[in-house]
Amino acid sequence: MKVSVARGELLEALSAVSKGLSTRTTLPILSGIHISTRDGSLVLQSTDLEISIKTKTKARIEDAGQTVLPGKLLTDIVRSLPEAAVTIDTSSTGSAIVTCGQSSFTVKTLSPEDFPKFPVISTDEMISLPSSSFSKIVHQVSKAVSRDETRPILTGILVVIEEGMLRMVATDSYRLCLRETTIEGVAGSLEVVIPGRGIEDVARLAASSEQVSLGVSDNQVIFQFGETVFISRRIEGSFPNYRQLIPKDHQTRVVIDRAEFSEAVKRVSLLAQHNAPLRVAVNTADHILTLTAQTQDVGEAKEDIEISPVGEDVEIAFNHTYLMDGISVAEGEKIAIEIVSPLKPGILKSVDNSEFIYLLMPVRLG
Amino acid sequence: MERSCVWDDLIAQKRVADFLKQAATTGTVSHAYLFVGPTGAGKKTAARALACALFCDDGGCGVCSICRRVRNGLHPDVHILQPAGAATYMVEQIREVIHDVSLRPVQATHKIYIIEEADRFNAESANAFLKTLEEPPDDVLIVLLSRTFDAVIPTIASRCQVVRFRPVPESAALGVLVQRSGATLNEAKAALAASDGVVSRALDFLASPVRRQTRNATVELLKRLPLMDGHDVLLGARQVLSEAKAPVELLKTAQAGELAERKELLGKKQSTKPLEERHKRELTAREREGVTEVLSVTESWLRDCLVMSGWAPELVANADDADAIAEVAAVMTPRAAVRALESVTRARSRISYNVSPQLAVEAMLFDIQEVLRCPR
Repeated sequence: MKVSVARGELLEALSAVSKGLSTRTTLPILSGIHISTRDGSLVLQSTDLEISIKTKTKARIEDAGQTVLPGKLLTDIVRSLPEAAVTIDTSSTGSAIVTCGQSSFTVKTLSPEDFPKFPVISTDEMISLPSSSFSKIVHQVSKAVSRDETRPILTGILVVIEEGMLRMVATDSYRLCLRETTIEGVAGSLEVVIPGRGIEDVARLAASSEQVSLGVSDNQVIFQFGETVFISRRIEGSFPNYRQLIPKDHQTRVVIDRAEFSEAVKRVSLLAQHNAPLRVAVNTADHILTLTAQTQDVGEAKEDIEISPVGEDVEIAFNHTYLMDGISVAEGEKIAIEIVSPLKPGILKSVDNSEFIYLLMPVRLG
Repeated sequence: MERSCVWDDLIAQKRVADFLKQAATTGTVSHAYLFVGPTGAGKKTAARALACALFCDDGGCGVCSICRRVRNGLHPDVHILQPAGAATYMVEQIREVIHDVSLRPVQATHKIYIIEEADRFNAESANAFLKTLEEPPDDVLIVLLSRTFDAVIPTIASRCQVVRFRPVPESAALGVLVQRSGATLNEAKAALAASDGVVSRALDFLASPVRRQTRNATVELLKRLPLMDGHDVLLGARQVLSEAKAPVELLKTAQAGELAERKELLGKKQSTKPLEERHKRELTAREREGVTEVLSVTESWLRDCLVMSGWAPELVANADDADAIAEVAAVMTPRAAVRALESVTRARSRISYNVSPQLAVEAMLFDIQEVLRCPR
């Protein structure tokens, strides 16, 4: 095989597929990028057996062929090269020569026959979404994805598309994040749980293209954006019924400036060490929301924020990291806090009509 | 089935094969099996065959691309695990499995995890595994392999359906050996005796000139033993053991190559520790196997003397050396032969307690020498 590619385009393709490189030492072939030629373009593939990525880039092909090159090394080489045409030549067996301008590298290759075949999956339909809103929603919801393997289904994000609505839900059983938005011109419906890591990678990679389309088969989900195909294995099991977790009414509702609230929480959290709770007290008579935190043998912090509450006085406590996560991914200048009682979950909501719900379990007040 | 099928790989385990085949065809496969049987009984082969039977459209034809990939260990939905720690399964390893269990299979309808040496769980890794082992998703099959039932941690064993394998009878093993390696019956007998009756190891033995050389040297040493003085015995022991180590050196070279290649591939920063640990384990195992082989040859030679003196010459395993054996057997009483055999057993147990192999073999040779000089 002998091909030449513009360095910038090659690097772009390489950084896309390097997301799928495996670092496991049991199967060295998975640390390689499979490169092959097809119809005037260079096809790059990588897989760690959980996700598989394939992308292509325009190239001048002198000799067709295929090979597997060490992924990380190749990416590092191409990144360090000057902006010019890069030539990859695998005419000698067992090694490839990468040249660019005056530099030349000889790199050992792996056998392309050993590389796992790119999964061929059949889907009924592909649903196309604007990648900007897709990426944004993934970013918001992914904060609540569980990292704990004991309940595998929670390490994924539930993606639902129905009647022109895109909804994503994630929960780690301490908090739950739901984001729903209307997307114009979306046809079809699907409901699938996608591994958090995979969908986050897609959101990052797809940001540069306009549309991202997704399809579902029995065992895999497939994403397509630009020239890239991204396949991830699905998670076993079914997502918990999140609807019944979201309280329908509330006793107290507070609308608050998001930036101001965020700053205050950040400050007071300094004294909520070792998972000490952050107390939130609403005083309806004085129109004040008080944040307090106290760590034994260290000290305590207190801050008042002026608010316009509706409802009754209440005092509730949260884990400050989880609260901060919620505030940071909410949208708009103002957010609403809804509280039922100190022992029921509190909710952060967007004030405008876009559907954003961040449900947070309270910490018992000592 | 008249056609070739994967279950043919399994030697002399008809009961087990029928049982598993039945389960696979009727769709009553349990979520977890514990295969118990001596080394070489075909536990791993059976686990692979079960995987073929479940994945293959033809119920395990053994020739389609799916079966081929399973047999060559290339199927993405068949995971074969060996302990990654110095002696036990590491909890990280088990976590990886637990993560994979939660995902849908890649190509097939099931995911199969074959866990070798299931007696090597430590408390931590076993506890991490229990929940998954007890209630995996519907499409998961976990097969644990172990030599004995009692060595497996009870909490693990109790969550599996136990399938017992019997030792492969000598006649069946010999037939397979002769057929697969093209060796003569006598060579096959000697190989089987040197490798403790394990067919796969006997095949390796027949294919390795170095190991056959070691075996011949051991037999030669035993023959000359009564005529040697103390110094000669020590030299002889040293020579045999150094020959037994020759395959270890070969392995070391291969490992160094693999390590260098891995470093080149993954870059200097990536940790190669798991690989090095595996190499270390392989080396230790190989070294131990070399010494065991010397002991097994000695044992089978002495046993031959015993059966010869007991007038059952057709049972002799080292037929190429029958003359010398007959000579010893003519004057040896069964009691003396048993005494000599006991010294081999003693050497085995000493080595298992980490006595230096050299020392144990020397002591054993002196004991045998004494018996051979005065075989009453």
